[in-house]
Amino acid sequence: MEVVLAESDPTSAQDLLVLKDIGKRYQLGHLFVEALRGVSFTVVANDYVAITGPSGSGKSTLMHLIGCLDVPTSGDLTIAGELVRDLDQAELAEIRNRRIGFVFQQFNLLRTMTAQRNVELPLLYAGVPRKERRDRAAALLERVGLGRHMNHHPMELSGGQQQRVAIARALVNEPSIILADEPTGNLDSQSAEEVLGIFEELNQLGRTLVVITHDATVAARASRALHIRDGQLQEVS
Amino acid sequence: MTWGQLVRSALEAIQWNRLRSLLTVLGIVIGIAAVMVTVGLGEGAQAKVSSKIAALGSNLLTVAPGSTSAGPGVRRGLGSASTLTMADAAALSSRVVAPAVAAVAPLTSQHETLTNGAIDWPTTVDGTTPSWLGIRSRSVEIGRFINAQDEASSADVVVLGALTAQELFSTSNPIGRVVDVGPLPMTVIGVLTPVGSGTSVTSNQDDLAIVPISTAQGSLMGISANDSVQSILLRATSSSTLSAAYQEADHELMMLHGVTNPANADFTITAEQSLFSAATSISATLTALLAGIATVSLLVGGIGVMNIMLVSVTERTREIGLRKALGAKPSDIRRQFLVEASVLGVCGGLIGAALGLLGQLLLPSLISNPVIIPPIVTVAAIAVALMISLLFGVYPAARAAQLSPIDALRSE
Repeated sequence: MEVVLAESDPTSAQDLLVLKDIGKRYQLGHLFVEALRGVSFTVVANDYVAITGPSGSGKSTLMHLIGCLDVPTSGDLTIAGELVRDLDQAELAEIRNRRIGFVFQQFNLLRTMTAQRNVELPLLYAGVPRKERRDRAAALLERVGLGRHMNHHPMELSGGQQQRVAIARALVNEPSIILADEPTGNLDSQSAEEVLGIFEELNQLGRTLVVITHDATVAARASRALHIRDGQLQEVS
Repeated sequence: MTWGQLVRSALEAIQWNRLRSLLTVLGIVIGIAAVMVTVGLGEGAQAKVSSKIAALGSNLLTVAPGSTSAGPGVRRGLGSASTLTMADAAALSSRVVAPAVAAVAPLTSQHETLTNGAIDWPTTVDGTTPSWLGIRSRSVEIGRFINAQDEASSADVVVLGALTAQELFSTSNPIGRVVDVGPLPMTVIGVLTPVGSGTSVTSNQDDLAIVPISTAQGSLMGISANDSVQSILLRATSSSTLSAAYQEADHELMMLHGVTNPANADFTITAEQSLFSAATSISATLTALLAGIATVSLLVGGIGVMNIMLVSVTERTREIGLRKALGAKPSDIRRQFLVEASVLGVCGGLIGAALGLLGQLLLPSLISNPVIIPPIVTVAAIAVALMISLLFGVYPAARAAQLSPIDALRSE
């Protein structure tokens, strides 16, 4: 039985992210907006995918769905073998916590906390004990070159440093996918280069990355780029 | 997230915005302090009244001539003369007639000027019997009180109140000295222990002179063999037998005076305590009123907390979105804001309680009224502050928990 099931299943264990005919419809007053129309693609382990497209193309909607911040209105979304469907807010929160590591354009660090405690946050919601949280956060900050800034507050760090803290935070709970939304959008070119360098290094170490960007130079660094326009995938390069 | 982590992050958030947090809980701080001081004032007044009752001699009944019953004019018994006599007092002291009455002291009272050489001192001169001392719960500081022998021989002896003695003799020992009580020279045999002055309910209890009642009735009033008395003090055997003592005395005096209809009684019996229960109930009413105002201010304080918590939720929408993106469940967010409201409430309660206790220290010297805040009230006040903040934190916390992570992340 098991063999038959495995054969009939088109997804393999290597497929971390599978989108099958994904649609997303919003209601704005009396108006229905089709943000996504039948988007299908697969991201395998150790992939480095850039999703590009102009604003209003459905790029952000796609990012929200992949990040489990929202659920599709049609189609199947599978993350690391888990089908994301009919889940409530608490269950979605758990998937986000375990499977997704977010990197935002605005960094989104909590200003009241030190770099180390910011990195610890996902572990806090995962219920990891204090000692382990501290050690893991410290190790990752060390890895992104901020070992000496662990007790700094975000306001005491440069934009590039803040984004590196955010990357450490995205990595801390060993997620399946690192999901970055315009990660270099608020950075100068040198800091942007640093961040992209870290992404490449992570990819070489076996990490899976999905980067949403409108910046062609950022997209060019990925292994492949998906272009989205009017809610549909245009081409796969 | 564990409770410890929640409290820690709540403290961080509060510390981050210290001034605003303080302003948030100001209503609660003032409310708690007000409630505590109000309760303290009430308790203080109660304690003051209780101690006064004890000082005057509890379980005390006073029989006065005349009737308070309704009717045209005031009944004065037989003309202007007192209807109470030494015989009445003697009858009431019988254990058989009035078993609930422990002691009886007849009393005549008049104003006289006491003279020691060049010093004149007008005061109240009470003629009474040795049992007065026990009934009034007084004691003699130096010398002795009047005794049965003084009573029998109508001795010209006087016992002075502490203040009276001081006014007449300054610091020198008055025992054995002669003082003119009105026209009569009398020997000072004792000085009463002071009970403290400034009582608002009765006249100064340290300014008086006591003489044997036989002396007062005879030589002082200038009418020999007059055995009428102005009032009779009765002490019940205990506070629980006060009403029994009242009934026994009432019954016996009606019989002695040949009165059958209680409405025609030519005497009135009052309990000293009734005076104080009136005073106590007035202070209780005032306390209730103030407590009501304080409670309203606490409620307003709670609404203030809710208002600021709502502002805080709006302001921290982005933080909430981020926490949700990182894996916070709606229940985590709700708990975070509830704990924050609670921590604010406890901080406000602690500050309020500190102010209340400071009031307990400082107020008595300003308003000459004792402020007694029982420890349980302090604990309760902090608990109330916590409960109010928690109550008014529920709605903001629910709002935060229901925020959509996308909208929250998008906000700027």
